[in-house]
Amino acid sequence: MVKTPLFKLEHLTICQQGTDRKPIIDDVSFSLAQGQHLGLIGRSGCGKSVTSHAIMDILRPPLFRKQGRAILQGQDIYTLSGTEKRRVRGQGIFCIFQSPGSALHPALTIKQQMMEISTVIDQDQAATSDVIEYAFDRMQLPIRCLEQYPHHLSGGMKQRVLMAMALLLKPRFLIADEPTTGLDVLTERDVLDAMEIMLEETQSACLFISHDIRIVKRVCPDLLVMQNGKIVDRCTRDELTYRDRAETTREIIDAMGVA
Amino acid sequence: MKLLSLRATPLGLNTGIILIGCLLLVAFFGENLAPHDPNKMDLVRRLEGMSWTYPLGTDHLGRDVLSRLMSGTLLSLGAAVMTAVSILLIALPIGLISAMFGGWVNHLLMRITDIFLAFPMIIFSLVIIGFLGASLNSAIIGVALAWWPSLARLVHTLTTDALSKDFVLASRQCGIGPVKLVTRHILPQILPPLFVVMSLEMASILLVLSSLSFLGIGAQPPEAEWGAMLNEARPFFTERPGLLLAPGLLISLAVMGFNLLGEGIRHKLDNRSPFRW
Amino acid sequence: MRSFILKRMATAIPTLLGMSMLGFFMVALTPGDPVEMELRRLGVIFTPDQVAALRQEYGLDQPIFKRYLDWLIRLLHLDMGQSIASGRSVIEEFKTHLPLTLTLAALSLALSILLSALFGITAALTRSKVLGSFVQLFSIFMVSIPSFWLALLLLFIFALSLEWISLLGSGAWYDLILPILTLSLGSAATMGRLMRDRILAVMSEDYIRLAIAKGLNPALILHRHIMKSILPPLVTNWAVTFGALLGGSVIVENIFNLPGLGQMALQAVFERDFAVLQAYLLFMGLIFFTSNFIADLLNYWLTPHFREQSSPQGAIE
Repeated sequence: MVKTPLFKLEHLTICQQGTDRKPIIDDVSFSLAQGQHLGLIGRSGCGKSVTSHAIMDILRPPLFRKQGRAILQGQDIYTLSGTEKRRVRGQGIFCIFQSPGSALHPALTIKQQMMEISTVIDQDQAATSDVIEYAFDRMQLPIRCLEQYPHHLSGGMKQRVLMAMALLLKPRFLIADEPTTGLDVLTERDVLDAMEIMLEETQSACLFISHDIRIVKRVCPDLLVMQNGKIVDRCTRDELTYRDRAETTREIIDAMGVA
Repeated sequence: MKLLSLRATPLGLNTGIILIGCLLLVAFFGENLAPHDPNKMDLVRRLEGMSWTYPLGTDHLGRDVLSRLMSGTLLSLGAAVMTAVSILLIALPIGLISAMFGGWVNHLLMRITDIFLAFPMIIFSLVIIGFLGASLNSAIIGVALAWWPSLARLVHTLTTDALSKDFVLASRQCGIGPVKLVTRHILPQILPPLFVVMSLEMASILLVLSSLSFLGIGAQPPEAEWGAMLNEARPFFTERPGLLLAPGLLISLAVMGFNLLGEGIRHKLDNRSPFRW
Repeated sequence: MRSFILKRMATAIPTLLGMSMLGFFMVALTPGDPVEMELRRLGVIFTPDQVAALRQEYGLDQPIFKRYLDWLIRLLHLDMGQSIASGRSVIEEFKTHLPLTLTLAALSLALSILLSALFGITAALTRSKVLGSFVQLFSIFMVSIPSFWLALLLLFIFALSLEWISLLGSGAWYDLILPILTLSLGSAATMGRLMRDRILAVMSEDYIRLAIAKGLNPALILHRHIMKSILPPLVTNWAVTFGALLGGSVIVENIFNLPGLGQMALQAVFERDFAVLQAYLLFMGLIFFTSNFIADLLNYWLTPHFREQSSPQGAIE
């Protein structure tokens, strides 16, 4: 892998305001090349999701960034102004958050929530409409969903709506934060299929966050292992079987009964 | 900058506690600390401005305003506390019973609260006072009767929440009696949030009671209730507007104290923060 | 929509009946015999026999439930008795006093909504600490100041110091400016606080995070995502505020010497004019009830996702 990195995270440290406890994210660094798929695994509560929020710079107080740089194509996102940051979000970095159930606005139709992307990708309504239909087709979503409200859709469908949004935005860097949480095995497979199609189409680099090593292995050739807010191991998926891996990695592998 | 963001900070809470604390001190010792007899009239020195003898001046009957304010604190706050207690005495049992028994009891009781809630509160109080005859007691009864339904609803909601907790279900299955269930499990859960609400309600109750007294249908002269003092001073508005300043300010401070206290505690209990963009 | 209205109306009937019962029994259960009181008021010397005869004439010897039904029928014919004080029929009194009070409350509500949106949005979204603190400080002052005192302060400033207006009023439309200002400032502060809290609560929802991640314009997020979520509870609050403003009108009408319903009711309290009080209670209750009803309809229209939830379609997959 000699390509110049598309995205680089450097020394990210996140603390909680008003407490002296140790950082929630402790000096995390990694980089991604154009089109690279990187997996981030770790047990629940180790700081995976917080990392994804921090990269988008939408941390919720009392969490705050103590130090770190997030460089997308040579530009540190954290130093940008509000308007510039907004331009990076969406087409630069997009994030599919976990719990699609609450990620879609309950009182807006799917169509309304898809159409508003037209302001971001700078296309007129008709053109966006066409792209939406194409995206829905690719994600195997029925067109009639467009007129419906999120509560009409199943969890897997909502997740695929989010992926259709990614198809519209074509972000250079996509974060998928536990996209299959709470889905049954069959739906999970559908969502992952859709995701692979989407990634192929958008050519995005992807940070895939999950606690499930089987899924991560399927999507990502490279892996990071996180424990208590620190990156404790880096490897390729083929190296996972080696017995000299870090303790956390071994634990996760053993628990999953794979490798 | 911190000095300015009063609400929802420890500073706001502390300001509230200090305000209420001072008022309580004055309420209990005001009668003894007052420089003059609050009811002693001196018709020669009526409507005087500030002076060393009368720090806040005198009213239309030559009574010392400061002494009247101090000795009136107990009455003003006491009336509000009495009202709050009466409201709780009605709302707590009704909310508890309807949530605990459920079924038609719940249905009936909630319907009754609905009916009371269908009237604007102040208007309901006013009409009740009309039927009972204007006095501070009528005002307390009127406000309590208009106010209990919203609190009963709150108690109902809180109790329903408390009942659905797993450990409550578990002890119910173990055959715990209803009285024990309420004292051991329900009350400890619902009282803390209820007290926060009551602190905020105290602010509104003070406002309503003083409004009624101001209109002349609450506390009656010569009682030194703050609202009633304002009512007495009204005819002299053009002559000496300053007379209306001190009682109004005092009411505002007391109301603000309860507001800050309630808001402060509520903020302590709930600190979800929003996203920023 | 129609079925919702019908259903909502059906549930309103028991409440309306309950309200009327409350209004009726409040008078019926008031201590003191109305006939004796009336005779005393007229200064007539009377014997127990005369009282009994009069009671019979007024139907007061009937069982109370029968009396309630008779009263209800008269009520439906808009016969609410006579004002003891003025001798006019209660309905006449209402016709004279109602328009002013309704105008006052409606205009105050409109102004409060405007001001509260200004306060609430600024307080929730501003990053300037000075402005944020100022708005918060202002709102906590406004919530804590009694409206009668605020009215007196305004009068002091505009009538006594600046002498822009007369203390007694001039009978022109601009007499309403200060009363409306008094009523709106207080309720705008309360509503603004609610609005701010709601906005902040919605801003911690996951769907706002997604909207931000999409790179949407903050103005779009505010008017579309946030407003869509906070409007229904706000509409409910507006109806409640309208009730409070009707109540508050008693105070400002008194201070600014406006001949509205509030003044009439206050007079009735002093003169113990029960017929007027009873009608006042029922009338205000009905207006308040209607405003809540309208709020419900608005909310039904505003929340399409709840509307359809009642017919469980579920997922199609």
